[in-house]
Amino acid sequence: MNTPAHNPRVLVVDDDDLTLDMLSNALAHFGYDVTIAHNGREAMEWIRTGQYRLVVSDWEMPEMSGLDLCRCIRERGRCHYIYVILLTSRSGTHNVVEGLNAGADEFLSKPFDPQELLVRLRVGERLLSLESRDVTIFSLAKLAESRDLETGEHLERMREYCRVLAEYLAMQPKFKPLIDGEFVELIYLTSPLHDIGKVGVPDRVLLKPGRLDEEELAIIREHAAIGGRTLDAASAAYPEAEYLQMARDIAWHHHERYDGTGYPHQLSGTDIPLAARIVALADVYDALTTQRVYKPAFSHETARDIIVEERGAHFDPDLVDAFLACEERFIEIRRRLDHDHSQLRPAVATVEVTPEIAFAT
Amino acid sequence: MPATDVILRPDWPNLSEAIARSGELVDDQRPLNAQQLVARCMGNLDFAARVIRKFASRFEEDVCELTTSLDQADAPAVARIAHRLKGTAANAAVDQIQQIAHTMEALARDNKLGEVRPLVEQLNLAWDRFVEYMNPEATRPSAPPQALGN
Repeated sequence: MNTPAHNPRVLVVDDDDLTLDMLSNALAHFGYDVTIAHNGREAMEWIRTGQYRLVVSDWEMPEMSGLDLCRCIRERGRCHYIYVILLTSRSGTHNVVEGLNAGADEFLSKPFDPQELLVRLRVGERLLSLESRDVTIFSLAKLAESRDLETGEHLERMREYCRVLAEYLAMQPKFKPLIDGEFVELIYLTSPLHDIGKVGVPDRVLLKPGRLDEEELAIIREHAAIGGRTLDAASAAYPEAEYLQMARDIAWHHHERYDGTGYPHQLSGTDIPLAARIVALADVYDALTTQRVYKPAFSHETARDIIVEERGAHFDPDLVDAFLACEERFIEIRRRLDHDHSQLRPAVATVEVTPEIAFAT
Repeated sequence: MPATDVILRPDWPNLSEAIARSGELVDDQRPLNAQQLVARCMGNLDFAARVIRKFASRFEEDVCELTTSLDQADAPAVARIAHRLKGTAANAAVDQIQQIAHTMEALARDNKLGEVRPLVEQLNLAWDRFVEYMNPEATRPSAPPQALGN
């Protein structure tokens, strides 16, 4: 399935039948589901159904004007955002200010131009999709957190580490074409979803306090494929949602290794999506420097040595270089976001580090 | 010519011909901006024709109401009706009538009804030009009776 679940709905409000007919005809042509209302009060009835997030309204109407309708919509407060375009033949700064103050998002001159109408609605849809995106990611991250043995601070630190690495890479000539501000923002938003697939791992394995046997390890490693497939389906249904594509790449591939010995697909080198390569290093650094059920917290220096050791094996060499260049920022993030850090520190010096301990899953 | 007489003609409006002729006139002489109307109707000529018929049927009502409100010196009513007429004409891309209605609305809002009244005659002249432009054959005095579709 490659199309959205339904066409976007638009509520069109005007006291003039001819304008309603013409707007409806143009919007239907562009693929919108159109509902019409003849005045502001009727429009509010439709809006209370919760089905409308795009409204195109005339300014001057009897009973309730377009401005009053905007104010009523904004006074709802508790609900999702509604994007309002006011149709007007008025011009002048004071009218624009009055409209914006009332809560209008955009203005469209009368008589409307269909292409301008479409462009303004697309802007509205983009804005609304950002709200949907943030709500979706927040919900999924909470779900992921519920199956994570670590605290929410793990996810918070990880996304910060990812952002630091992405920001640094964005300034390097080799990565400039690959990483822009949007990439940095998206990896910050989606990296907490890397272990979303753990919702499909049974408790007897996920919550087992002791060492896992081979069969149990195989089960827990399934979390990458479970998360990947779930986000694959979401991404296929909403192909325009870039954040789902990045979340999918991360979920599938954050346990791949640069030398091709990781899982689930044994991808190697740059076949591993860049976002997943970044998350892999951030995730391991955090695992190393915090206490887990199977290990104490290692110092930053120990973690750094392990990561450097894995340059070109587990990790992309460019990522390791980026990590070394940003070390101080990693230390600062850890200090700021690891509340148990100071209590754990005295014990770490005595622990013998083995690859088994360092990369438990 | 009364609007009702016009919209009863089965061959009215002939938009295809109007579009073909529109290139012959400069913008401010063109009673109908047919290209703009058809674009606003997403290329649907039947729909555009319905818009023109709706505009025509409303025009007569609006001018009648406008005259009554002027006789009663009811400036808010004149402004409201002129505003409505302006909107309908703008939707139908009948630019000259839209401009006259716009001027009427502004004058009525300033309570200058004395200056509005002469514009009613201009409105009617613009209407006649529009009708003739839309179907020049049907509006010729020598048009055969069967062209009226009765």
